[in-house]
Amino acid sequence: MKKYIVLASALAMSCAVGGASAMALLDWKEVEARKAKANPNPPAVVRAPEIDAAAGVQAIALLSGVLLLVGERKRRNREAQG
Amino acid sequence: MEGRAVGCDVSSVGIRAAAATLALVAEALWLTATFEAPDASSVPQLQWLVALFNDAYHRRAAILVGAAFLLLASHDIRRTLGVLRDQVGYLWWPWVAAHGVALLSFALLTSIGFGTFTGVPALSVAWAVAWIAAGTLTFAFWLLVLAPAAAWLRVLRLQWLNLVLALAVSAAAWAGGLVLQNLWEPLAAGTLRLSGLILSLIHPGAWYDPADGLEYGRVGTESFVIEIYPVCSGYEGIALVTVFVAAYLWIFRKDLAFPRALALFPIGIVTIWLANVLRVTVLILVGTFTSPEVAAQGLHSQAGWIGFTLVTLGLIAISHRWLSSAPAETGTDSPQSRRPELPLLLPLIALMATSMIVAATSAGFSTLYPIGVVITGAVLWHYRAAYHTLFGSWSWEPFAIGTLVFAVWVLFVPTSSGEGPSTVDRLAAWPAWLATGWILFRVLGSVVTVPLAEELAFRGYLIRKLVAKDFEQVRPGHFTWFSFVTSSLLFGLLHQHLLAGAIAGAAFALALYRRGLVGDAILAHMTSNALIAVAVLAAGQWGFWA
Repeated sequence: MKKYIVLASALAMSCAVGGASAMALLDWKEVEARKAKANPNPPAVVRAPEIDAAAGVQAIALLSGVLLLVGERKRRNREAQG
Repeated sequence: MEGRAVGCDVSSVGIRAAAATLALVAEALWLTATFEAPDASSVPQLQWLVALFNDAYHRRAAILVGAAFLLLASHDIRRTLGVLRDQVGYLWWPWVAAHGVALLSFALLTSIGFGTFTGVPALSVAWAVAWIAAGTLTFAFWLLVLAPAAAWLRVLRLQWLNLVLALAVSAAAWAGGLVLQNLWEPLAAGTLRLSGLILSLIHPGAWYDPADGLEYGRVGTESFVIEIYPVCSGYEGIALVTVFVAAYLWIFRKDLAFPRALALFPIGIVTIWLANVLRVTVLILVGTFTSPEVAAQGLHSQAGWIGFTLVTLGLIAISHRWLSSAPAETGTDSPQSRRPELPLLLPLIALMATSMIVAATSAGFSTLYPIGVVITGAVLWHYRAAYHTLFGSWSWEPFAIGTLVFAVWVLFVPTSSGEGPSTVDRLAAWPAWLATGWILFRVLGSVVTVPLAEELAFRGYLIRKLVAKDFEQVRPGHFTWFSFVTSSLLFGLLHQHLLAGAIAGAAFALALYRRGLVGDAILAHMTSNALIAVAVLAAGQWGFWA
């Protein structure tokens, strides 16, 4: 079981976490330059990054609370089954 | 320490570790704030070295390796800490002096190499060797302040496999990310096209522009348009869900059926990507039909996290229902029928959920704040019978501690932050009865529901849970350094102002420790928040109501 978790987690984390982290490597100045060249007078638009780090504390606190509730439930279930 | 006679007791080792960690953080801040890496174009072979000083890559890499290591070593962490605590007759203070000398040498070499005071960088291979050696010695001596070399070697022997695995996983993650950059554009294009399709079913004026050849596309209506960059492609959500699923599978590995439970990875990844498409669509619809300000300021920053929370809660529900290895739990006499953690945790969960929704529907001003007060208050009222034992006889101490926390808050928290002039402007535009009602709910939330929800979770539950798995076996007010420091830091993290929040959390914990009553921590917290409310209303310091 442990090897399943380690292998699957390593594989999935390699793909996803690395992908997100490597976004920092993209040269956004170059992107902006290409955009300006292609469309010198862009209309006013909203750019919407997916995740705003500053807004995440509440979500993580909420999720941690739910995980603690689930953990307590499962712990009692295990203890009841001996 | 497990009944053994040791030269240094647990408390002194804990205090030393906490002080050394704080000192290391302060030193790192001082170095990075004082020195600026020069343009190393004259010595191109050293560019990577000076870039390490200024760029955030090494910090990201350290976090990645650290997180992977903690996950892998979590089952054995107590034994490892036990090895480090075993310090019979250890003379640690000479290493403080050695660390100080090494730090000054490192700072001196940095100033020479970066030309901080002379204005002329003196980069050379010899300098680089000396710089790396001074930095390594500074960190090594810091480790020796914490524990003897023999203890670190024993830890290395215990954990070498986990350390190697953590490095391998982190390296694979980084390399995998570089390879998978090619997927960003197809993901962004898919997000764009699907959002455009859904929008066109709802709004006849919807359009999208794939902008082939550029790094972004556009989707929207005639009055509200957003740009989809690769960074909005859904990758961040996919990464977060992947980390969550990996951690969830590890934490609950004894309760889940493998390999079936691995299905959570593809389910989570597909669902969070679709949730991002939905987020983009809703953002445009709110911007078009309701309020461009709410879409751009409130919903925009919160919708990603709301989607992430809903998806992860769904994954937990799926795993609980279909992927559990344990038999179903039924019957009112089962151990599940008595759940003392619910009255302690559910109010905070309700508070966080409503805070997110209120923030998502606001544009710099929490118009719907009263809804959070009502819902959190309803949860507290539902469990009111469980709170009778929390309070004791009258004491002046909680009020004194609360007053001190208020003074600390005023000292550390800038009044310009948080809800400022826009609150006053918005309230001034409302009818008097509506503005008065909103302020009453704001005071009620600040002085009653927030202190209750936060103290029940942090000083009623978490501070005991950090002592033992079965928190009911830990009496309220049982002190350990680990639970005291960790719960205070987490409390600080929840409050944006880390230092002031952590000091407040520590002070409320002290209120609890005085008599072992959670009620004292609640009263101290209520006192602080009441004084803050007075400062806001009497002195116009609206920034305190962040």
